[in-house]
Amino acid sequence: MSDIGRLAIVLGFIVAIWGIVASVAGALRRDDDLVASGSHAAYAFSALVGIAVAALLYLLLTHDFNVEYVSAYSSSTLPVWYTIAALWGGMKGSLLWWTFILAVCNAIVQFQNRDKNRDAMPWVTAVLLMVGAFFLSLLVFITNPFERLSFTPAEGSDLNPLLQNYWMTIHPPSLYIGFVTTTVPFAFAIAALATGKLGDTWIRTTRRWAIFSWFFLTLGNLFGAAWAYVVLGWGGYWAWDPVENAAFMPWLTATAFLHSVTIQEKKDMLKVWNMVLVILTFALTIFGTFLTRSGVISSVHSFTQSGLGPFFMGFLLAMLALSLGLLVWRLPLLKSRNELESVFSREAAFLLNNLALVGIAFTVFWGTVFPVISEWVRGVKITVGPPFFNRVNAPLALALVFLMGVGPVIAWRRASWQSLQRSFLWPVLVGLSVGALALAQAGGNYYAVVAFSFAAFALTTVWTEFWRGMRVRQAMLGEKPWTALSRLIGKNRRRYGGYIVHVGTAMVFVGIVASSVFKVEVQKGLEPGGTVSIGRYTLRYDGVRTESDAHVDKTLAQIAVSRDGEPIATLEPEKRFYKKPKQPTTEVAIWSTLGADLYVVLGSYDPPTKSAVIQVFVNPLISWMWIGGVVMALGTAVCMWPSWSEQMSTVAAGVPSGTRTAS
Amino acid sequence: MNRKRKFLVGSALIVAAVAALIWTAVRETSAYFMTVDEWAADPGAHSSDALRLAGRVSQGSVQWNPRTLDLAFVLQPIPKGEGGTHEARRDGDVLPASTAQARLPVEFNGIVPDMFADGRDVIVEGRVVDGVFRARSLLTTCPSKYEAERQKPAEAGGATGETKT
Repeated sequence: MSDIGRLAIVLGFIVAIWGIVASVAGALRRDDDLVASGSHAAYAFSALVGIAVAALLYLLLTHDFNVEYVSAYSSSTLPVWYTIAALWGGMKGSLLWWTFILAVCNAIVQFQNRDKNRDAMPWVTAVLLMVGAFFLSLLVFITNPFERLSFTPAEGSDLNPLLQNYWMTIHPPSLYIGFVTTTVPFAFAIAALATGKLGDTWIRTTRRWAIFSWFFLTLGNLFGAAWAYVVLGWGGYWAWDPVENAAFMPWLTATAFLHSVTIQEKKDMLKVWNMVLVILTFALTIFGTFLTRSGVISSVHSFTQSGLGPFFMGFLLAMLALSLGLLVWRLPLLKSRNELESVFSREAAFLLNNLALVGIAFTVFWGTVFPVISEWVRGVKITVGPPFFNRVNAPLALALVFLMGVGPVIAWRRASWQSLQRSFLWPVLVGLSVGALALAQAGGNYYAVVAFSFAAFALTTVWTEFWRGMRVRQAMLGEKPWTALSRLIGKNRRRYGGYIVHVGTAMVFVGIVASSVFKVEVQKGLEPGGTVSIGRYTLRYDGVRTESDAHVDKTLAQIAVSRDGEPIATLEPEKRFYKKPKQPTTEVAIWSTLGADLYVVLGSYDPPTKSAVIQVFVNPLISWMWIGGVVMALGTAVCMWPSWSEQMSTVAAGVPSGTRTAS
Repeated sequence: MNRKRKFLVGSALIVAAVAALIWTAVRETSAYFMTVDEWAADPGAHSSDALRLAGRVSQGSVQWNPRTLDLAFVLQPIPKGEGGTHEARRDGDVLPASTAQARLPVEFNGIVPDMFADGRDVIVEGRVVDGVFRARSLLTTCPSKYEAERQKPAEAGGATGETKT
């Protein structure tokens, strides 16, 4: 089976090279047969990578420990679900997984466009295969996932216990799907530059992909935060670690792109900027992979040096040179016909939104690579920690939330004083009153006060948009409120889906601010029967109980929790010992409510004395983050929904899908 | 034209503001990242700087009081070639005998990471006060086979608000 896998990736690489050559040659010589051959190569590539993934999965599930990857990342006692997750648990597997997602996307793109975008498609095929060929070349020439050992270990050394968590089974796939699908808009952008057809066809063709990609980047980041929160046990979910930043940066530029692209559609502006954002987003996904794989920047995710760093850097620079070169060459064709007229306009709000998002992305980038830059420039490694990121990004994030309230309702071109009054009277009033309330409650923390006030402002503009649209339908069409609301959303899903995403974003923002500003923490060594108090909660430590199986030993502390004197729960924070890798881990226990999370960690346990060290955090409003995340996902789904049905119908009718219903 | 210039100036101002924000934040929050032996080569050079030191926990040096959560141990250089990714030195350098013997006592208060033990490689963040490294945070690193290893950063008791907000 490992031979089949190996053969599949070697053939896949050859096929990809052929596909690139055939597509480019076919495009340049206008040879339809060559172009068709390139497209067939893309399908073959997808099939071959699919076979390779299936082979590796088979080897994992049959516990063939003679295969180096299988013995390094799984064991015979690892639950099936995590054995599947081991597919992306190690570097080789994750590279193959990445290629697989790209291959699937490529096949879908080929199928969607089999009768349209004829000029662009050979270039799209070539770019997608180029990225695919790069990843496969790593697996073919440098690090073989199907490598066999000279002996067969009786047992595998198991998946890292920290990765044996349900979030970890869905976080990497989501993030990878988000990362990889940015390649599709990138490929179409390159094709537009190459063919010189720079109208908004490429944008319309890839809009769904861009939203789809954003959807998974959002989920990937949130799942990652959730994983850090429940697994790492320091009471937080985000530490500005390079690996987290790697996932965050493309999200920022992708968010900027989704916004600025509407300006191009409506006003034919920002064409060059959009190209830059698409290229940047793609480049950041490759850069992110480079960061996590090269060991150039030391991370708490301590990566072994894989030697792949230079290859990623080389590929990244080549792709950047190629795409920016094309962009400069086509600059004369990218002149926009309109310009900004007023600061009080939707265009300006969107432009500022873009500046803030790219500003945050740059800050994150700068903070992440700072050790490397300082070593080059001054010969000493200087790191910046979370305070750096928080200090710089907090004002920018505040500006963004404010603009989130302004952008959707302010008039195009130039807003009159009357229209400003009409649109913003209520939101401003609500924002101010929430601010006043927060000031009375939270006191001196002005950041939090402003944050809550802005969030309320943004939420109210969205609310008034829904309310007005619904009232208009009720009045004009005599619809019942719920019918009016659902039809309002249904008729203009992209717009109202976007608003729903804004609601979710504001909730996440409130959760982040509250949980970071008002978090409290206590740690204490306790004998059985001892108590510790924090806020309204009192926790009593009642000793431990133990569980054991072939895979893991568990020590579960018994913590009786009461709130305002009322017993509410018994929590069992754990110490675990995973037997295969002989590694201890800590499992936190969380009592989650809408108002606050009680987060309990068993810091250490001393068997002879039965004493334990307990660490307790109270994280206010943190569940708003997760609920807000769900709302964001729902809103994005609303945005994407019509495009699917629309696409199906146009595909069925064989009509070029240039038309669209969303405004 | 004039309007366009106005927008350009406005955008430039915003960019400048962000740059200034980054500049001051870097100055005030940065820490020197080095290995224990690099630090030992000239201890006086960073007497007032925030430091992030990588080193190995000296065998038998760990003292841990579970009641007060006080931890003390001695940090020594990581032998050449075993440092994994956190080795700041480049290939070809050889540790001078003087710095290879460097020993730096470290104090920390708080919950100790799971992987902390004698002989482990760790990264400590903090400052040197009177010849003792007062660690604000303690990270363990594991130069073993795992690629996606992520360790729990332990935080010192009272300093949480300062580091993770």
